[in-house]
Amino acid sequence: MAATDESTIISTLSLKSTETKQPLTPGQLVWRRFRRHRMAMLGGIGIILLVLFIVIGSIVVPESRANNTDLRSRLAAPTSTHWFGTDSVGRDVFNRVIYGGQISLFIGIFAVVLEVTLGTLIGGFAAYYGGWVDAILMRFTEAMLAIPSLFLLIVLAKFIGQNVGQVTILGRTFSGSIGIVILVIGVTSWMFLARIVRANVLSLKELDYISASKALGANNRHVFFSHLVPNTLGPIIVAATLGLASAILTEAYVSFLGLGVQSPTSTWGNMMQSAQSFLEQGAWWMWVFPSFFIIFTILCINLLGDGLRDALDPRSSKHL
Amino acid sequence: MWSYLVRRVAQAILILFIITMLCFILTRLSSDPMAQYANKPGITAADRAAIAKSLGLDQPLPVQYIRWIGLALQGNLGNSFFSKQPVLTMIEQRLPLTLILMGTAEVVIIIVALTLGLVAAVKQYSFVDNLITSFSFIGYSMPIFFIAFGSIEIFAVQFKVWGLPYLPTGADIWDPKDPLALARHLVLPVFSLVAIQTAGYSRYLRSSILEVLGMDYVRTAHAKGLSNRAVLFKHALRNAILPFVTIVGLDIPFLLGGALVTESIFAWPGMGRLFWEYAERGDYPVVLGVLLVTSTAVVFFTIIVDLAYTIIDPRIRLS
Amino acid sequence: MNRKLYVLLAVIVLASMALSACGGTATPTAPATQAPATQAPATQAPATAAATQCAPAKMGWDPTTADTGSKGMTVAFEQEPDQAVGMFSNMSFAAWIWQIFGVGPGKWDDKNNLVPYIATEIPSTANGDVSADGLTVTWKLKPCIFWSDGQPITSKDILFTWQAMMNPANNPVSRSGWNQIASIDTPDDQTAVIHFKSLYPAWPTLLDLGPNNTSGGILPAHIFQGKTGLEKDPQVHQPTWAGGPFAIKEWVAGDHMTLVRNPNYFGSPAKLDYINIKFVPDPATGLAALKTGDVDLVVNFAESDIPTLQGLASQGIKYRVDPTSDFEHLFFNLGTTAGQTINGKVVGQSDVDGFCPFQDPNVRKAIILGIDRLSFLTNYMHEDQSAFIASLWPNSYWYNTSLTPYPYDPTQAASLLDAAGYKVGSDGIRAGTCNGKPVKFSLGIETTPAQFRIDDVLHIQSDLKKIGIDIKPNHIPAGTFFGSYSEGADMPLGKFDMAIYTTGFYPDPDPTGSLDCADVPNKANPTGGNNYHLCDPQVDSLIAQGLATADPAARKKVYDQLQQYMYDKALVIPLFARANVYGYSSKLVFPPSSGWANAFWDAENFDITK
Repeated sequence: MAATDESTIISTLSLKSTETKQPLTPGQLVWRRFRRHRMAMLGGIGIILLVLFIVIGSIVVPESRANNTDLRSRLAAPTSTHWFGTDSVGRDVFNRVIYGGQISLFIGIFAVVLEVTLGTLIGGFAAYYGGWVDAILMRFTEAMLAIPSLFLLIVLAKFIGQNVGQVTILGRTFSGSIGIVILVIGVTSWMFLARIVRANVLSLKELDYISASKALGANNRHVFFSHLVPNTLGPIIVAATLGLASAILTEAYVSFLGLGVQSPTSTWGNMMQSAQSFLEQGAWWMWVFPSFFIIFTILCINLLGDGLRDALDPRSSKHL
Repeated sequence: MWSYLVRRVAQAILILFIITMLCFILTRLSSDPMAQYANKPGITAADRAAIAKSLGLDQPLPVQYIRWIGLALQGNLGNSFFSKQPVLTMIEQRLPLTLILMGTAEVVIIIVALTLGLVAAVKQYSFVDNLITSFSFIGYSMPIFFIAFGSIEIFAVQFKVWGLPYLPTGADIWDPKDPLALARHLVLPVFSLVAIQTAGYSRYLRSSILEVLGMDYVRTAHAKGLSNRAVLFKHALRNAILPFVTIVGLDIPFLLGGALVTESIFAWPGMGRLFWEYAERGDYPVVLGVLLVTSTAVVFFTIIVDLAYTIIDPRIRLS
Repeated sequence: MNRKLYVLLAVIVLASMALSACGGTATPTAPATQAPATQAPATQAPATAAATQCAPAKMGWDPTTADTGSKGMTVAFEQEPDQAVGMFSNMSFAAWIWQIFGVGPGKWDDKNNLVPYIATEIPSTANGDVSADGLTVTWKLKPCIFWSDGQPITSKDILFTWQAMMNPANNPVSRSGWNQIASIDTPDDQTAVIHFKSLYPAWPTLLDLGPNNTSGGILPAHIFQGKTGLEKDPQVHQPTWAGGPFAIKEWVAGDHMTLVRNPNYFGSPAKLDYINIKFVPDPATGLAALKTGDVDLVVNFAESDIPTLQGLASQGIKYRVDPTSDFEHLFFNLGTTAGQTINGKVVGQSDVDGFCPFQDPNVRKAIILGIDRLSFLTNYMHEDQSAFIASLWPNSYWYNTSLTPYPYDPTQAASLLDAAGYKVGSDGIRAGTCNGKPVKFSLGIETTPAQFRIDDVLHIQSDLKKIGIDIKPNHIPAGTFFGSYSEGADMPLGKFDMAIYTTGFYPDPDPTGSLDCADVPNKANPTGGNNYHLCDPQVDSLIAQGLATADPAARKKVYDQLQQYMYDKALVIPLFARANVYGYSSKLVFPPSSGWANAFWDAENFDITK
């Protein structure tokens, strides 16, 4: 489920309808189903191109050039020297799209890692241990789910993201707000995944081979990580892919609300946001390029995720 | 049945308690209501101390929380720090307009999603399916402000330039002399909401129809010689729509929260904007009030939907 | 797949969406029609009439049931005011509405002068209404003036307002000034004699309607007599009374407010029947509404929007830029844990020390010289050169015109820093020792995330890099940036190197509360408002001198000296004066305005032409 601005269409599907679950489908079957999904193939190719663009771009264009300001050549239209034009302080938009893309993807990926980790652990533990652990974890999950997602996001972002300064990693300086945005997106998006994982684990728990390995004396941790987690991988991969799209989209929303990554670090989201004030002065290039990259990326990832779901998880495609 | 209900209600109360505590801490510590009184020459240090005292901000946090929840339990959500109005009154003013906007959008979304989902499922992997998929995914992949500003630029600003009848940009939505004013103001925000949110439902419906179409009883129906149309509407759709209804039902309480970004762009006086404008200033009675009202609705609606589900679908037993 | 067909279909779908979105529901909005022919202005209640036959035009008039009329203007406000009565709100949006329906003895006009409103003249020592010792100020009110409900406006209302402000059962935003009043005599309905406890040169900020103060305007005693908890009173939140040219007819929360002409207004009747104020939170929507004609006036554009508005001239949109006395400034954390010893007492200690080299005036001067402020002002903010300022009292009587802003001179800046012993290291950043401790010129600048500040800090960062100073921007949301000491905010705690924001010392020039030792925030004084952590005996003494006389000319001399001293010592860096930028439709007659008067000081003269 994409954490869209509008918290209305959150599919709060309850657990019961996903209770029947078949074991992982063989890889071949998956690939065949995926290939039939033409749009998904397109999405996959789009993502590869995009990653190539950012990786090659970062090698060719040094970061110092992307940060170079020049008030005299501000708001210049695209030319052969500035392919995407310049922004409101004269920085090259093409270069900033590359470095902004790095950060946007970085935020997306790490927010999803956090989401998947939290969701799997919480959902898995709840289902596996049951009893009061389950009760507490699920009440907490439900409490988080009952708050409209954007409200939760705003309150949390304001709480942790007020005053972070800058961090230097590997000789590059970033706004500390990158970490905050990752944390905020990750922490507000794990709940659906936790419920999916819990439902899957609950049904798997009853299967014979789990009982068998328990009877053979395997300890809890072994059963949990060797059997239960791998067997819920399909839905997790699907949720993670769609989660990546929604994380990048959420980054744009957070920037729109002024709670996003702070200057001087660029993301596509905050580039788009800062372009708003200059759109009316004719600086369409400041807005069009980052917007195109955001929408293109999210579109490709969503198409890929949709195909993956059809392929990996044909009978439980209810979590959109 | 009764013991189940009692347990669910008890759980719900626990959840609401967790929510209020969580939100109180997050809200209270995130934005300083006193910030707007800083750096204003007319307001002295003594004035600031007096304001903090009158708002109860000089008390320790736990005391502030207990005071707030004590009043909330009596149905009093306190007064806004700035407008001094009772929070309940402020919510009452915004709720109907939020429901008008969100309700209209939800109805349109459902109608569009039903149509698209059905067509896409019946013609799986066809050109039409791909077209519907592309469009719904493009909408789904856009931030709403993209569509919102785009539609204002086209249907309001440019239409006027072209001499066409143009739509209003926002605010002043209610005119007792002109009931159509409200309808005109609804068009653009509803259009934006529909554009980005239809995909969620239509994709879901598409896959659940596909699932049902693969089931044995549908094949039996075909074998009996029923027409495709009859099979689709009498059997497949009816069965696929049950989980769809559940999802819609569970989404309904979220309509109370409004649509923050859409409401801000189209200057719609709804709950989302109320939340955002007061959260920015650290007015926690208002923020907590909005959160409490919405999440209470969500929690209790979930119970009602679960109960309704057991009545509709006898296969499900309560445990 | 047939690609052409695909594209064609896409076009059809888009087109049909466009049509279905607009067909049917969209009807052209009729432009505000003309001719308030039924109104007969200026026939009633002549102010010259003898007091004995004086009567309001419409006794018992109630705006909520009044007819809106047909001729009006629509204004877009970015925020909704929280209260309508000025003393109970800190928002400028509330102050503007208060200027439309409220009254006070005087108000500031479009030339930044205090002019009589319900008073007959402005008190001064020359006309004898300010006593020789400055302790007594006498206001003489116009006879035969009425509140919108027909009750007379009298000196009793002034007395009541003071009592209400000082009543502990009410919570106005500020009591400063009011608490300087010892007593008010009302010998007759037209005279209020205010006795101050001690000399209070800022007396014009009390009662008078104007900018930047929360103490202007008067309350109708007959409405509020005997009531307490006024901040919660419906008549404060959404008054049905008014003294000014318009009164509030309705206020739909979050949506709009309609004000209609007050028939009992003592001045010339308003030319418009109504003013409709829409609350449009998004500036882009506000601009779109101006272009479509949904609104006639947008009051809060940013200075950087000036080129945008210039580009709209062909679409019949005009703009106006009013220079204000608010200024954007960059300042240093001058805090010391040692404080200063004044008259044998240690004052002005901060909890922590600021960046040690900032104590050296030459370092501060170097930083000012190292920033090309004029280039940002003209290329980015698009303001007039006159906004390039040297001190903190721009665009006012108090500004010291003999000062010229420090120029952009990176060479001199670098040599000043070299001379102070801070040399550029191998990493391009200056370092050295200060008070025996090693220091490095890697400094943070804190400010809010407003777009122009994001860009200004980037510009400052690149300028200062050239003289070996590394800048780390930190953009903090206003709710936290301006947070209080007890909430752990950086500025009052002194946990910052440099910061940027906008403030202004006007209409009264006294900077007490911001620049004096006693207001340095610390453990013992957490609500102190001196964010500069500046404690300088010379500044303190000049501030005190400025309050020792009520004579404007004498005060002017003192503040000139203060500005000269702050300039010489480079205590703060004024970046530029701010401006109010209005965009309005060409059919709107927008009366003259100014940075102090704002747009609505003369609301009765707004008009709409065909």
